[in-house]
Amino acid sequence: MEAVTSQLANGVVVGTTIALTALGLTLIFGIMHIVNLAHGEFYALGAYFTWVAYSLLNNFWVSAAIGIVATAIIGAALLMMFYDKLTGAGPLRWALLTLGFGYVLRELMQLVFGTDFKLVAPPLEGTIPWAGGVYRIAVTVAGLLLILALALFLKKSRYGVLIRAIANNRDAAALVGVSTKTIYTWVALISAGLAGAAGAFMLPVTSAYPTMGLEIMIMAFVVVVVGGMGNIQGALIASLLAGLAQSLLTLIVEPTAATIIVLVAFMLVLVVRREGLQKLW
Amino acid sequence: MLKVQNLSAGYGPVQVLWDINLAVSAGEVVCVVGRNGVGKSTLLNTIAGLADCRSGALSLSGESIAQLSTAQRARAGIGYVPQQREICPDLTVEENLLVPIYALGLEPAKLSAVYDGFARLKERRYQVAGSLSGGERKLLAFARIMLCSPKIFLIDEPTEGLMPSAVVEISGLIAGCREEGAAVLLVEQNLRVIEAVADRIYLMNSGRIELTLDKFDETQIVKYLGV
Repeated sequence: MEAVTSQLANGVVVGTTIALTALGLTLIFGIMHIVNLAHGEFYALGAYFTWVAYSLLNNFWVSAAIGIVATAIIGAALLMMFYDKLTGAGPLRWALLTLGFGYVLRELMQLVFGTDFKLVAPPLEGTIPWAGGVYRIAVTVAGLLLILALALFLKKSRYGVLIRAIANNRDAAALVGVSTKTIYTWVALISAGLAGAAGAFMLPVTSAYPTMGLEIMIMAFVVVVVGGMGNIQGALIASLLAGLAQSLLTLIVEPTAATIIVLVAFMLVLVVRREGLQKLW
Repeated sequence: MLKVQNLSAGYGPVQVLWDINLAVSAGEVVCVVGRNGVGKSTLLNTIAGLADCRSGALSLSGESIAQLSTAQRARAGIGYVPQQREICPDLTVEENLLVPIYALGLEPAKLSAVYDGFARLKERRYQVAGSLSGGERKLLAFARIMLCSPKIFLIDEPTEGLMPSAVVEISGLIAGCREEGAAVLLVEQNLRVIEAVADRIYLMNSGRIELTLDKFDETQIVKYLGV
């Protein structure tokens, strides 16, 4: 029984990580209509930047904050660098551009950091019976708080209202003076920052390695599509479902097989319901 | 105030407007009249920065606005109420009104002033804007633009499909803009509204202005409206 509850707790950690990454992905698609195939690399950058900062400062939480901010800035700069040139371009052109970004970033990370695993010890030691490691619980809480903060920011803050206005009717927002470029820069910062946060939080769990972005990217994309492209609530629920299913399945099959089963199940959902699960919530 | 000289414009490869010349002064209501599809909405879209200006000059209070983005034109004093998609339908009425307040850094007290002028919007402040009636949507669109205190209002067929009482209300708003010294460039097909508010009328056909009337002339207008 303890094995099951421990895997449930692990599932929530994995689900929260996928959710943070997927929320960034769905936010940038829903508002800027960008299919960002480099998003997974922002997750990896978050982990690597945190590792570098930790090597210098030896304080995990400060290092994670630095990693998140650095990823947000670099990710947003990469996306906004081409914004003027690609204004009005379709999602396919953005997908091809970001596919290239992703490849270059992955190779650069391999070149700079090598192929070995960069590990950082969890900043919180110990375990809680039936629930697993203290750090994993802390990460889950931090991730959920971040998601809650994002929801509150979008609902209540000045920039949140402007972001929702642009997402809902870009022309009507521009006609009352909303600068699309400023808002898109904010969205790109938040999107890359969320992926960076997921990477930073997972550093003590999985360590940092060059292909980590590619692995989470596949799962994040699937949950975004299943949750309904641009649908934040849908991505969140689909992410938690994916994380829980993946963790519980590891009780009976190998981890790789668990991932395959979850991906196949989600693909079947899309075959049966083309709109994904979004109309269920 | 607003001066349009030799303007040619369109969308992508499609040219819609040819060699348009017009001017609107402060405190003046100028109507643009023509059949559906002659380019009236494209004219307003081009002035607001939503359609591509191919050639010609656009200036507001002597300053060129042709190179400005839509948001920059709004900040410069262009207030556009489009015929459709004029509000953010998924946001509440209040959020729609907060958008210009936040974007332009206006005093939040401006919201109370709007509610004083638009009591119906205050009643529906927490309602999703997409659920408003056609007349209420138009009022909300007007209120959003009025918050920006524009130098010129561009208004595209504001009375189309509205009940007679709402038409009277919208006509009153247009007259109020003039009284406060703003310029108004109005696209309209309702003869009674044109008669009530227009100081000057441009008649359009096939993407060009063919005739300018300095006073209401029903026979000419009807000819260009094709009714």
